[in-house]
Amino acid sequence: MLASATSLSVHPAYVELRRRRRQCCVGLSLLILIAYFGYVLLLAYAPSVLAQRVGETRFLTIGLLLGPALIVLAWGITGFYVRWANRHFDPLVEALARDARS
Amino acid sequence: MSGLSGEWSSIGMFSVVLAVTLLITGWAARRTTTTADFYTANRSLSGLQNGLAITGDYISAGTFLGMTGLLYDNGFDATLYLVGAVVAWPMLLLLIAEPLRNLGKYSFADVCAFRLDRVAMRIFASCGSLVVVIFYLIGQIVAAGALIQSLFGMPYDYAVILVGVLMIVYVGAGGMIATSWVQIIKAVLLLCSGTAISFLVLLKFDFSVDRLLGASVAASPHGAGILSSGMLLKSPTEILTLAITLCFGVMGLPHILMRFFTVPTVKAARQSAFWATGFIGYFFLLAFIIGYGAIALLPMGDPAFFAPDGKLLGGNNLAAVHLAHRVGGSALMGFVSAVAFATIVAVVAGLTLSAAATIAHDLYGEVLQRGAANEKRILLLSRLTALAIGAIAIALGLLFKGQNIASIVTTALSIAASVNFPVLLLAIYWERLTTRGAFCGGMIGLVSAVVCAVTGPKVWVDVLHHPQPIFPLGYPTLVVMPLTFFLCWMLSSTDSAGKAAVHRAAFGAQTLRAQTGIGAEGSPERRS
Repeated sequence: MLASATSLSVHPAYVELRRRRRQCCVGLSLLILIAYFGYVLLLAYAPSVLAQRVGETRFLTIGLLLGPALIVLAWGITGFYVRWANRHFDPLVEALARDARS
Repeated sequence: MSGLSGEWSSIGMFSVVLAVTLLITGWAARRTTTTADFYTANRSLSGLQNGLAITGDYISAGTFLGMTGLLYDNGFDATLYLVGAVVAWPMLLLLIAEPLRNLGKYSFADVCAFRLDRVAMRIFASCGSLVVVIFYLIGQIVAAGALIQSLFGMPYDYAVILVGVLMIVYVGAGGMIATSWVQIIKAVLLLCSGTAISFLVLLKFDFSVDRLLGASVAASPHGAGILSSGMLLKSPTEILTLAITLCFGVMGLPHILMRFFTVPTVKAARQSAFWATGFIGYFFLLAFIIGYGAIALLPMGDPAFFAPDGKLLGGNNLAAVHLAHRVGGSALMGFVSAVAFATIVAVVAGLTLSAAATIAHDLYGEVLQRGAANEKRILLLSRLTALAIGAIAIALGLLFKGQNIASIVTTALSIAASVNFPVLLLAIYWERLTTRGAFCGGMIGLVSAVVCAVTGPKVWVDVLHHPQPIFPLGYPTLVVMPLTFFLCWMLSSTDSAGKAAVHRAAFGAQTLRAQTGIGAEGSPERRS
């Protein structure tokens, strides 16, 4: 027997789940979008900043540091989200599913 | 080209890859008896396995060879492709992956049609899928023909037919089980070969990136120009268009979205996105080293790598293959060539499978038969569709011979970002979306995207040889993506029909299932 969708939609665990998920997903999406489009705007309008070398005698440029850094950030964000979702979202879903069965 | 074709190590490795993948297909064919087997491998993959399969789907030959070739040619500008293609993954995980997995069965059309009109939305999603898949497929098959021609000395036309026939065998016989395992093996081989090339390149420079870059600047005809922007991307508009296309296009690629249905739970779907982002990110970091390594270690005019006219043997797309030869001898080159070949057939198989799902499941099963079709018939039709798509792909591959691979694939990505992504996002998150808004907005967006792409410089000038483009931008994303969002919003907001109210009222139940998976395939409350 499944509990009705209406009773689940006001279930405290569901309200909590939606609030937490919204905070987490919006926050992390903004983080990666701002970092990425910040980099893109630099590339489009101030390419000389990215072409700057990190040292007098070196060849490594700021752009060649920031690009890989964004790739690492992207992976870090997915890792953080997966841990967060496993720890905080799944127990709430389990609680809801238990109540839905009963 | 004589330096490349007929290398025994290449042909040997190529035969091994071929034999192994065909064995897998035979094994998978015996396990494929239902439509769930055919489209989702009966949801039997683990998160790690699916993450590898996604990596395999995403890093096509166009990506591996095309991006390193682009970097070899143009230096720093090409790195935007690498960065944008990885940044797309957290976006996909945060916004789309879990609701998609919870609401859908076989394809993203299921999600678009969840609360809106089933028939209209499936027709829209099928059109969007097929257009994107066909553009993507043209890019892959043209790449395949050109690559096999230069790697093994086989004529282009035969090479295209060979790839087409192989993909029909993989998909038609083995379905998603075979396609997934071909992808997984290929992804592992790809990661190994990328690691080997990068390791050997860095070894030559005492593991100093700075020395590697110094040697590239010294060897390049453009000097320090390869460390700054301006050689490939000429204007801010071009940069923004490309950045947006790369970041949002993935969320509209049907063959990538389809992969999230092959795992048993939403937790595994989440984990597969994490593994995929890690593997893809790692590989693209290696691509920086491979690209600059090729500049440093393949000096202009070396007769081992360059034709007398000064061009790289087999074209610049083969920079990574030549680099493998340079640092690892013919054994590593043979290995990399075989991996490139496996990459092509695997990606083409994945695309074909998603086209078959669209035609047999969405159009035949849900639209024509209103969900009442016999499963055996759908399965048979799926296999026949794979055959038909294979034939179409061969024909298009022959027709588009010699076209630029990167721009065809980016066009597909651009249409996906302009059309499929806005409708999918709004269907999941925006309560007031109605069938009128989604269907009309999406269809007008799709037609605009195709018209803009065809009349733009990449097709109108480069392919059809007209002197001036009608639509000024290379890719339509910057114009059509906002247009689709706007039309969906306007046509939905003003929709006051009775059905619109019913569809809006269903949003609450849809969100409940999207967020929790309760009621979904393999859902938590059904596993007691």
